[in-house]
Amino acid sequence: MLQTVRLTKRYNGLTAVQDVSITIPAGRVTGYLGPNGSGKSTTVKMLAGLLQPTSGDILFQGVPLKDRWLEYKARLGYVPEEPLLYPYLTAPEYLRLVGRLRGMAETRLAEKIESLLRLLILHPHRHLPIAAYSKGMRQKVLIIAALLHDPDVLIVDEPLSGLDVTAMLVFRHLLTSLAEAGKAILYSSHVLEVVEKICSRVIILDRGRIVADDEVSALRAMMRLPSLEHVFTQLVSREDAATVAREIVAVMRA
Amino acid sequence: MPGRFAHRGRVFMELVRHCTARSLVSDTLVPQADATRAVGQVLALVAGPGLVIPFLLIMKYLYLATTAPAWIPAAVQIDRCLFISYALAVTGIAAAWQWDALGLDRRDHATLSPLPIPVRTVHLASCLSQCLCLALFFLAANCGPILLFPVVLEIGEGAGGGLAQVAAQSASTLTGCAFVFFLVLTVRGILPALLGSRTSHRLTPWVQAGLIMSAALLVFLYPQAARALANIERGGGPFPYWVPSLWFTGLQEWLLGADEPLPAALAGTAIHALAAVLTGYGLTLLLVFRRYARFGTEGTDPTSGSASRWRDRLRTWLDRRWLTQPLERATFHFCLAGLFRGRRQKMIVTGAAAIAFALAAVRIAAVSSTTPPGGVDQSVLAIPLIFSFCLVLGVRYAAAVPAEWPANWLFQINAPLAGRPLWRGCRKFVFIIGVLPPIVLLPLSASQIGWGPAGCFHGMVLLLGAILRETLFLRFDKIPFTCRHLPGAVNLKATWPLFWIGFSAYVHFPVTAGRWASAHPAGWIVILTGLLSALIVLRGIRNKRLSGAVPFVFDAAPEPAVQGLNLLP
Repeated sequence: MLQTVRLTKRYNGLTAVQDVSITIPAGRVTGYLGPNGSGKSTTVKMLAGLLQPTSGDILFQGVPLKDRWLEYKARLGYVPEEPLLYPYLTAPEYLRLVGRLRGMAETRLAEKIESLLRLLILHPHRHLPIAAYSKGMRQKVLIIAALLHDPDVLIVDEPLSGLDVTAMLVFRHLLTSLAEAGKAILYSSHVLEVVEKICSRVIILDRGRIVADDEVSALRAMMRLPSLEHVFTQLVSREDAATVAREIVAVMRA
Repeated sequence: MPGRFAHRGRVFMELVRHCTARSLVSDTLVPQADATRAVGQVLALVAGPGLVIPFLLIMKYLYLATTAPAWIPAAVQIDRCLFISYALAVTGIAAAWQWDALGLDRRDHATLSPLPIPVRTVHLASCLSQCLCLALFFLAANCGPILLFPVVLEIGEGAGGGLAQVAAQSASTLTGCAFVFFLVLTVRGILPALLGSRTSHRLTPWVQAGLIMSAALLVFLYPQAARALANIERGGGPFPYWVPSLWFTGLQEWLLGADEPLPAALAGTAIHALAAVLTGYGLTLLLVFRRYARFGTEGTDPTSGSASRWRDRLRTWLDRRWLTQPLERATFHFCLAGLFRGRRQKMIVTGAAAIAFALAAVRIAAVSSTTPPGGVDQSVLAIPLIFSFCLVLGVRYAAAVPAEWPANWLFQINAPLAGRPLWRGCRKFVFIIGVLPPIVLLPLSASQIGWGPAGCFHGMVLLLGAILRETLFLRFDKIPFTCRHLPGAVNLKATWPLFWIGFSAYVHFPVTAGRWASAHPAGWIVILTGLLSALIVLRGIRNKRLSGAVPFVFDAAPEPAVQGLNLLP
C-alpha cells in the first residue's frame, strides 16, 4: 500500500537516511527498528509529511505522492514520538480540533471521542487541561487522534512510551485487529520484545541504511539466532553490552 | 460542489479559531495555567488606563473651559497624542511579548502537517488570526478612549465632534496599531530568513527587548511629543517626523479637517509608513511560507552552545573565590543557566532592562533642557537607580516563572530543608544579574559629581539594590525557576500604583541624598552606614526565617474552586 523508493534525507551535509526503499503492505504490521540516531524517526516524519525528502519517492497505492499528498493524508493516522500537544486544551477539545480539521461530521465526532476516551480510561480526566496529563495520558490522546477518522495507513513512532501495562496490552491487540481489518501499519520502536510479538515483518535500520528487511522468523533462521534481540544485536551493536555495564559500575565506584 | 466549499469553510474557520487561541495563549502569557482567566486579566490590565484617563480629563477640560478656553484646542491635540501613544505602545509591547505565539511553530507543524489541509490554507488562517489579535489588542486598549473622549470634549468644550471624532480617532488609532503590529511581525519573519534559524533564535530576546524599549519610549517620550505638538503652528521642526505617535496624531487632525500643512504632512508620513510595513509583511509571509513548507521541524537546537575559554575561567574563579559550598554553587549556576537559556525568563529580564533603557533615554533627552551650564544634573544620577530597580524587579518576576516545572523533582529530592546555602546561591545570582550591573555607569556619574563622590554614590546604589533584593525576595521561599507560577499572582491590576510609587521614591530620594552628600562629604558616612544597617537587619530577618526550617515551595496552591466568605467563626 505504501512504498518508498531510494528515500534520502540530508541535514546540513549530514545524511540521516540514505536510499531507504521499503514497502508497507496492507493487512500487516511492519516493524521498523534501529538504534538511536539511525534515522527511524526521520523516515517516519517523511512518511507522515512532516519533512520533505532530499531525494527519492514515496508511493501510495503505487502512485507517487507528489500531487496526492492531501488524499494520502486524509487516509493517514500518525502517532508521533514526541507528544507535542497544546497544553491549554482539554483532551476532548484537542480531539475535536483534530476531527474538525479532518472534516468529520460533528455528531459522529462527538460520539467517537466520547467512546474512545471511555475505552482508554481518559473519560474521568476529560475536563483537565492536557498540561495536567501524565506522559501516558498524553500518549493515549495522540493514539485516539490518530484513530478518529478510521485511517487506512497507520504510522506509529514509539507508541508505547509511558503507557501502563493494561494500555500496552490493549494497544498491542488493537494493532493486530487493525492489521486483520486490512490496514497498513508501520510500527517504529526500540522495544524488541513487542516488535517480535506483533510484527510479521521487520526492517532494521543502522546509520541511515537498511541492514535487514524480512520476516522475523526468516531473519532468525537465516542468522541462526534464537530471538530478534540477538539478531538486532548482531546487526547493529558495536559494543558488548555486558562490558559497557561493567565499565559503568567501575566509574560509579571510582 | 457547495458541500465541498462548506467543508473547506468549516475547516478554515476551525483553523482560524485555533490559531487565534494559540496566539493569545502563549507559554509566556499563561505558563501551565487557566488560559481564559489569564488572557482576561491581561486584557483588563490593558483596557484599564484607557477607561480611567478620560474621566480624569473631565476636570481638566471643565477647568480650561472656565479659565482659559483658548488653550483647549492645544490640550485636545495633546490628549489625542497621549491616547495614540498609549495604543501604539500597548500594541508594540503585546506583539513583541507574544512573538513566538503569533506565528506557526513546531507544535503546529507536528499537529497540522499530517492532516489533509493545504499548507497555504494553514498560512491564510494564521494571517487572519494575526489580524484578529490586532483587532483584540486595538479594542482592549482603545475602546475606552474612542467612546469616552468625545463625551469628555462635549462636557468640557461643548463641541465633542460626535461621530466624526469617533471615526477619526478609530481610523487613526487602528492605522497606528496596524503599523506597529505588522512592523513587529515583519521583523519576526525576516530575522530567520536573513540570519538563519540558530542565530535568529539567539538574537530574538534582544530584538524583542529592543522593540519593547521602542514601544515604551512612545509613552515615555509623550511629554516631548506634546511639546512638539504645541509648536505645530510654528513649523514644529523635524522632531514630529521621528515619532510615530505624532504621525498618527497628525492623521487624526487631518481626518478631522485640519487645514494646516503639518497635519497633512504627518498624515502622509503615517500612510506611507503603513504601506511600507504592509509591503514588508507581505514579503515576509512568502519567506515564512517557504520556510514552513520546506524546513518544518528541522530547526536546530537554539540553546546548543559552544565552549568558551574565558567563560570557563570565570566560572572556575567564581567557584573558588565566591561560591564556596557545593549547594550554593549548584543553585547559582542553575539560576544563571535558567535565565540565559530559558526564553521566557530571558525575555522578562531583557524586557525590564529595555524599560530601564527607555526611561534612561528619556532622562538623557531631558538633560539638555533642564541642566544649567556646569551644573549637576539630577537625571543622570537617577540612571543607575533606574537600572537597579528595573533589573532587580525583572529578576524577581522572572524567578517566579518555572523553566521546566516538572523537572523540579531534582531539587525536591536533594534540597528539602537545606535553606541557607541554597538561598545564598540564589542571592548571589540576583546580585550578579540585578544589583551589580549599574556599576558600569560609574564614569557617567563621575562626569557629573567627580570620581570620589561617584564611588560613594554607586556604593549607595549597590546597597539600595541589595536592600531591594532582600525586600522583594523576603518571602520568596522558592528556588528560582522551579515553582509553578499562576497567572494573576502578582495582581498587577491592584499593585501597579505601589510599584510606581516605590519606583519614584527609589529613584528620587537617593539622588537628592547623593547631591546633598556631595556638598557635605561626612554625609556619605551617615547614608552608607544607615543603608548597611538596614541591609544587615533585613538579612537577619531572612536568616531567622530560614533557621526556622521554612520548607521550599515548589507548587503554588491554586485558588479553590469554591470560595467562602469566612463569615463563620
